[in-house]
Amino acid sequence: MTVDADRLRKLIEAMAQSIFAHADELTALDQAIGDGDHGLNMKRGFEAILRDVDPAAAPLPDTLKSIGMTLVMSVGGASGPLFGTLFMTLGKELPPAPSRDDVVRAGEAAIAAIKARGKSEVGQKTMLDVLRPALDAFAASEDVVQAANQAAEATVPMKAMRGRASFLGERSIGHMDPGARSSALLIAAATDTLGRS
Amino acid sequence: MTQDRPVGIVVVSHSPDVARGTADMVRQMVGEEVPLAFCGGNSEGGLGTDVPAIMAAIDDAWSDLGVAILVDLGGAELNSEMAVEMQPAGRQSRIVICDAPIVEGAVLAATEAHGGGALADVKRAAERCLPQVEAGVTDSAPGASATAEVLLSHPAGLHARPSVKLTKLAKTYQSVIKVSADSGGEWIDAKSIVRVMGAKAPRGSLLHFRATGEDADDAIAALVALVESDFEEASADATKS
Repeated sequence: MTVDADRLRKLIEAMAQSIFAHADELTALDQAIGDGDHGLNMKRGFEAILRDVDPAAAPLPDTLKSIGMTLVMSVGGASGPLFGTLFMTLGKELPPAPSRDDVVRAGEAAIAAIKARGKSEVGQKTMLDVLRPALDAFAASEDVVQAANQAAEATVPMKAMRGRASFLGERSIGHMDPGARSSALLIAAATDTLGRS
Repeated sequence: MTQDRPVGIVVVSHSPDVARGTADMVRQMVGEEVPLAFCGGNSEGGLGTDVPAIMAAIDDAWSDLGVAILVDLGGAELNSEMAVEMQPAGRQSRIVICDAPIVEGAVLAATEAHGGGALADVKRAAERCLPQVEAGVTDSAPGASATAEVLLSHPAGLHARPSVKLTKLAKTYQSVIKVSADSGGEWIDAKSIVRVMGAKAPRGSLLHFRATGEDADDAIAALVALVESDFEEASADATKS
């Protein structure tokens, strides 16, 4: 699949618009179990991306790295390094015109990098609980968006083991993880733009 | 000039006020000699941490001996890790993030740094671990030996600030210096902030000093004078500590 500048621009805009449209919801989710700034932080990050990342300037891998670096430098919360690591790893691993197998391999690398960055595993009520099943669905040619949304819902009964939400212990149960929700939003935006295959 | 500077300390908090206040406490207790920088808040001034600001703080506090970073909550640690990874390769191995409470850790780290401690010792002090090289501290340094006893009359006892002052002073001497809070008590290294603060000696304790080395007499005289002066704090001030 070739991702030209036009498609890259659409991808960036779709992800940003989805984050902007759901910023209040993400913040509300974070107010329940975190410090209440996830929506604002992600919004700040994608505003910086729209401002600073020129999709016409570089091929897909470099643009993904720029997206990741911009998130790291602008988000201001733990989600900056975590989502930054996601995009930077994808940029490092993907060729300019990735095949389906390339995407699966890069996705595995990104999940491993996020685990290392966050010192976390699947099942701890984090973004990993969406990324893992979404990648599995992609690899099996199943509906990625549906898998991501269901996986985000599945974080509701989980007990947080990492991050600020882990301070709440049992009281984190009953709320969707904000990072899981934003991961599902980004996956949906990317899938809509790039197609489901 | 970053040569000959002690290990630098960087304070990273989500709150600009906490970061500044922590740095104020370090300055008051440890002084101006240790390179110290702080940052708090996101790029818009709200609560959060900002990678470019952390990178700038590392630059400000840079020493060839390295920099120890103290953080508050998770995002501060993650963003500090990112800031470290964006440093030139030659610097990365000389930056550590301490697993310690931000205020207490910063004071302990700065105290250890002030005495010329290596980066690993500074991190261990912040984390309240005992110095790694303690096995090398023997009682048998060459030279004279001296002993003295002095009544601890400071109202707060050997509390944080007095401990910092005593340790800083002890570190200015070459001699091996041990202190014991009561007769028959354990002899501890007077140059270890973690040890001295951990002794928790209350007012009225009889401090025993024992020094061996070329400057043993001077060391003992200076330490006794410090304790007798109530650590050079006016009594009205001392009661607040």
